Amino acid sequence: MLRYALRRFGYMLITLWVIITLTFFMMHLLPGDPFSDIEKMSPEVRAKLLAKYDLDKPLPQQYLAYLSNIVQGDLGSSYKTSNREVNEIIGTNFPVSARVGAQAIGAGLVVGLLLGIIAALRQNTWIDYLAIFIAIVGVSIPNFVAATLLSYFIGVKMQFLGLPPAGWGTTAHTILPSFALSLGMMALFARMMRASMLDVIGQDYMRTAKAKGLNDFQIVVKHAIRNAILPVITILGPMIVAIITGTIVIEQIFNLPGLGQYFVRSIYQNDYAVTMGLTIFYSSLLIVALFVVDILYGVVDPRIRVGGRK
Amino acid sequence: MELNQQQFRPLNKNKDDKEAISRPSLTYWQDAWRRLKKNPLAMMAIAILAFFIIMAIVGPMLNDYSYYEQDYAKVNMKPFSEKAMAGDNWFGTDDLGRDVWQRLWKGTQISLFIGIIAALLDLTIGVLYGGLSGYKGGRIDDLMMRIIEVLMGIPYLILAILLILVLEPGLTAIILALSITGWMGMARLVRGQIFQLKEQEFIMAAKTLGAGTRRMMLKHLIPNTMGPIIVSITFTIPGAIFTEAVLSFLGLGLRPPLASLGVLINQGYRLFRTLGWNLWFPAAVISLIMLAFNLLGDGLRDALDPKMRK
Repeated sequence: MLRYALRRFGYMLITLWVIITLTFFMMHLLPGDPFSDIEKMSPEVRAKLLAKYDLDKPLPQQYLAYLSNIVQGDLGSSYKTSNREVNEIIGTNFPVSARVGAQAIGAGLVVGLLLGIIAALRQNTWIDYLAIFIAIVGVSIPNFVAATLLSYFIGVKMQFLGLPPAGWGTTAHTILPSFALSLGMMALFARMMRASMLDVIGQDYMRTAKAKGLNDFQIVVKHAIRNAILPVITILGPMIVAIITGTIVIEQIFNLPGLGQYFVRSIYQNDYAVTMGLTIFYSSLLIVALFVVDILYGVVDPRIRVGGRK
Repeated sequence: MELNQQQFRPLNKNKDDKEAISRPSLTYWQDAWRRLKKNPLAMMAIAILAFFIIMAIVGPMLNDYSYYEQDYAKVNMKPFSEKAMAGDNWFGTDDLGRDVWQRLWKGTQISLFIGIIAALLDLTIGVLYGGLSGYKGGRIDDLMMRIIEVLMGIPYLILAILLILVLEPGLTAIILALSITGWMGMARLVRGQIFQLKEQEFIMAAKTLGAGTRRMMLKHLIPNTMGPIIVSITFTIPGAIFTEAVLSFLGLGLRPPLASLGVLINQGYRLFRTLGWNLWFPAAVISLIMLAFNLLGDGLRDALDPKMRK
């Protein structure tokens, strides 16, 4: 197990390094410099600004400096808003994204799995059809369309439970965005869990469990769900990635002061340093999430760590 | 009941007849098609896709407008209203007086085009990389798979955004960004398939008969992996369409007046509260396309791999 974890950790570091390097050189490949879109800037001022941010140094030197800053946990500072540190932006805006994302993952996982389990246990009843319907709709409707419709119909038209259509502040503000974000995940989990449960229910060991006199609850919980959940859990990694990148879109629609909004704005404003810092932050977040999920698979399913890879 | 000799007569059968196969023999593809035809959902999906593909090509020819032409004399016309029908603007007009019908089908055309080209590029890179890795095996395979593992850790949406920033936003940039981030899954799939095939007798036979690498790949290995590859493509295309829509929705994809479903949804989202049809049409089309590809993919998986059938 330890060897497996160490190897995954090694990959994680390499991936991070690749991303930092890629981001750095790609952003510096962009034509012009961060100040070239400001007209009427005298060459002297520009030279001073470039010097201030070390942009006049040779590229390899900038790269090494950037790398060493990152290792020390400093993601740089904005070129556009003076003295705005990327770390500070993350500190103030990330909690918003994290809350919406975490709620979406929680809801998607719990509702999706439950729906899948019940659908499989009550195959060909209305609840099964409902689960299939949700699974199909959730996969087909893009989350930004669902979010727009939810915000308008539930938030504006129906005024359902007084849920606000947009904005940030109270718990009520987090509900619609989290729900919109979790739909896709819910759908996929419901569908995979249903298929996986149906597969397990047909296995011989289920009959054995019944024959040795276990009650239905024990059979379902200890035998069916435990075995059925393994293949489903393997998509948790990609799902978390989808949720984190999904927050970028959802925040635009519900106008949440999250990191995604800031990321998109930095791109519009040509604020390279912020784009770069946030790209690296997002990537690290995803990579760490994938690492944790990978280790979890190893814990849950011994076959993975013995085989090492599929 | 009495039985006597007169009730029986010998069946005249010559020796060759015994060996004859009574049913016509079906190739793998004929067999798959036969199974697919029995799946009503998959057939419905094919019909929906055929309809959208035809409309994407023919639709723009059906009235005399173009997707970019603005007419301030007739902005915001409701679809199917008398005024709109009189001027052949069946689906109404948008806030700049552009014909929604034209923009919708142009957008469908571009989205489908992006999806299909991106999937074909994925396929080419994935098959070459995965094929080589699986066929060579050993050290080379190890190295190639390590590289993929590192690349897979990079969040695709963020890499796509970076690539688009570097390569001038536009159709080429989007397609490139989508395929650069999308081929890894295909490469893994092909490699896995080839690993399984390599152990089989017919490959050994081909080797014994002196088939070279080229012949081996083109005549034996790749044709036998076509089933799973096609299934994977039916999921890659909607994935690419979705990613393009996300990018365009964030304003990082195609630029108006050019239309894609993402561009249209972005525009419709901004006008939604008062001019709902600007969102309804593209949202319905993208959802139906996603639905159809997903249903078709499920159907194809069942049809091409009967063992997987649940």
